[in-house]
Amino acid sequence: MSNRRVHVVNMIPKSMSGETNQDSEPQLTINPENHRMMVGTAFTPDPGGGPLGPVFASFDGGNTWTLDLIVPGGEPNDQSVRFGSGSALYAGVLRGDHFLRMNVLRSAPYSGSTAMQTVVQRDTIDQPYVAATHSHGRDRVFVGNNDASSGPYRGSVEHSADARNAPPPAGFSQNVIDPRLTIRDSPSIRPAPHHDGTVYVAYFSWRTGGPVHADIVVARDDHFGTGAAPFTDLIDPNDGLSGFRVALSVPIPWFFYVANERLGSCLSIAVHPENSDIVYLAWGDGSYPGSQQTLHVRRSLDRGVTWSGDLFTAPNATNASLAITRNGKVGFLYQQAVTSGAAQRWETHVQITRNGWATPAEDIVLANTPVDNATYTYDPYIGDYADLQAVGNEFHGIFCAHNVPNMGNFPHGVHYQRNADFAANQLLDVNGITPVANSIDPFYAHIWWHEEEEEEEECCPEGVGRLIVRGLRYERLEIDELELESCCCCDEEHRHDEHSHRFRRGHMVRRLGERLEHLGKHLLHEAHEHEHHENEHEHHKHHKH
Amino acid sequence: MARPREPRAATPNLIGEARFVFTGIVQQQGHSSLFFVPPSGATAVVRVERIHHSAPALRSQEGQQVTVVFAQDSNPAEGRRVFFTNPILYGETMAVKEVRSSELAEDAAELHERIALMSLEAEAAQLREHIASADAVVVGEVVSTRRAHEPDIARMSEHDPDWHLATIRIARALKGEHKGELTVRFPNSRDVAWYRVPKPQEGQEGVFLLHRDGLEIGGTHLAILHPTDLLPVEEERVRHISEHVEPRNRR
Repeated sequence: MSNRRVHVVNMIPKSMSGETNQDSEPQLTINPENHRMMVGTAFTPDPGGGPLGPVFASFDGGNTWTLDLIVPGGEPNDQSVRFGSGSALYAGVLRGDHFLRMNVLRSAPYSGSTAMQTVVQRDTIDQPYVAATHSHGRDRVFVGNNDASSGPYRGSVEHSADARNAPPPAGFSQNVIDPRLTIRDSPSIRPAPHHDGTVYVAYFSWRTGGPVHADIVVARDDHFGTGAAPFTDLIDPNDGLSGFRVALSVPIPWFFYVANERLGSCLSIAVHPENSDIVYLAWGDGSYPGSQQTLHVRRSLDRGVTWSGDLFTAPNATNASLAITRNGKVGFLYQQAVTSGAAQRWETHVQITRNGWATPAEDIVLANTPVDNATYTYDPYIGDYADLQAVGNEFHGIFCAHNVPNMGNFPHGVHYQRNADFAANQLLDVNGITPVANSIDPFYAHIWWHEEEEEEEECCPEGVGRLIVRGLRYERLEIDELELESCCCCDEEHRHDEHSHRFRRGHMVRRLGERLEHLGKHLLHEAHEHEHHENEHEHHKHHKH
Repeated sequence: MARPREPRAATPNLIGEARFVFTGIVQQQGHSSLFFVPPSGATAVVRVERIHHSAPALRSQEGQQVTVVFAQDSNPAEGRRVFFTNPILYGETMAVKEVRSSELAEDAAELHERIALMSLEAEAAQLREHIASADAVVVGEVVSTRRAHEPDIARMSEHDPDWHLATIRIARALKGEHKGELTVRFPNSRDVAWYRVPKPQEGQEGVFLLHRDGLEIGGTHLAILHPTDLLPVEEERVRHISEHVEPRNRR
């Protein structure tokens, strides 16, 4: 993986250089039809004190970000965003102006500085978490949430089979998913839909309440949750109930703290975009002595019927986020508390494996940043979750970390939009002079590969519908051979489907566009590195004199 | 398209509608300094000369360029103007939406003072509204605090308020009939949903603005729920609050 590239960007815009907010708990979504369009979230208020909450938006592939005021109810208490088709943006939020009121929001299409539309409103809900896929011309949207509207907190999924087109409530309906509910379920309810109709949902089902022990459960639906009994297609043979218990009654560090971070509900699930049989699961528990919370990664190759043992574990870690690329690379983002000297730090890792950790994965440390009480105003310190998304064969991540401008904290470099003096490790206000205190900021990370020897896509054995690019070199734009063919034969359902035919062609052209875009990013990255080295050189020269 | 020349008039009071008020110089008509705002006949790049009213986080925008999106599909002639606006985007620079703007019709220092006064009046109006919404207002000292109850783990979210009770020795009731000691509820949680709400400490003196929210916990209906529900005891502030409590509610 020596041709791998990493680009990290501090997302706080330049015009907000004076901000000192604790911008924690991030999420990220990339428009599947225009990868340059991205939306990120964090606990960031409108600096102007207006009635709408903001999202971070990028139209240039994550190089620059703008704070866009579009969320009704002000700065939300939880938020999650995903793009659907036609640039439709979906969000699940807990409104900032009403305690535990969930809104499902829609902006179809997403448009800057236009308030999102509320399509669903429910009370006494925690941690809405959105997942979306597009199939048969419809946006299938799933909002995992923890519903205490009648009794204890229960794992629930608010879902719609056609969220983009229908008027509010946009086809949404709510299903509870835990048939074993005895005490409660934890806040993290994580759906992972596949475009073939498969939807996995992971959740914690509590077995004891003091100390807390919970089963780690994966439910499945094979028809986008549209049948008579949604999310009951995977049965655990040991008790005959829906939802396979991947781990039984593991200890949960509910409201434990490590390095200022509140723990207790860390969960992620990802389905292979090319094969819905393959699903990866990660969770945090307190099963390992000496670790407040250990992350575990496991895998099923048969639709959740059987599961591996631990493929990977990370002690004293949280904010697990899994993603799988089209060519089968598994990415695992997490944040780990480590001690350096007397001081604690948060390390943000992305593990990348092509073989399910059969051999040690590549470990990319995106950031190694201080734990600083001066930047700790509220819980969660860095977030109850971070996010990693796979788009094509690349990864896009978002995480929150201490923002002191110190290149030593970012092993792969970093680009700040806000004013910062890296030589003096000092943030500066919008005037470029006045010092600004450190705080927690959201960071965007892009991980991609270039100079791949060959990329080939096929949609059927007949050999048509291929994109072949050979010999693409970034020093100069030089394509030795470009072959672009397509047909309408992906599967029985789409064999004579003109829409599918156009989709494949469009997809191939997009892939080519992506490869060219990488060239741009690569050059930008090189330019930043060059600028950084020049600055360091100047700095050293200055000190020498 | 340029707007027709406007008659010179005193600056209106639009503080209630506009959160970012400044004097600026229109530098580039029909331009934008922000990718998200396409340049048009209704946009202009304006240099902020002096901010008269804004949230604290925006005060450092003095001297910076902002893109103004005008309310009408036209922009005014280049020159110095007073802008009543609301922020809409924060990127390389800020973008603001005009509520209204007018030519600078008075001395800049006088204008600043006048808008500062409007700003104070707006703050006072907010406080009046907040007092009106309170079910009781008392001046007193916190005698003790304690947890209201053990958490119900089945109904406890990450945003759980962690209700605590504070017993207040009342020095003066400004609204309501309370006297002696009064127990009130407050969220002791440091969660993002509650961290802004004051956490009374034993021995702390203050003006307590108390609300009913439909819950009765620890034998009290009254709670501290908002960031401005516990104010320092400053005679002027207390007097100000007293003045705005309706006479029938005074003791």
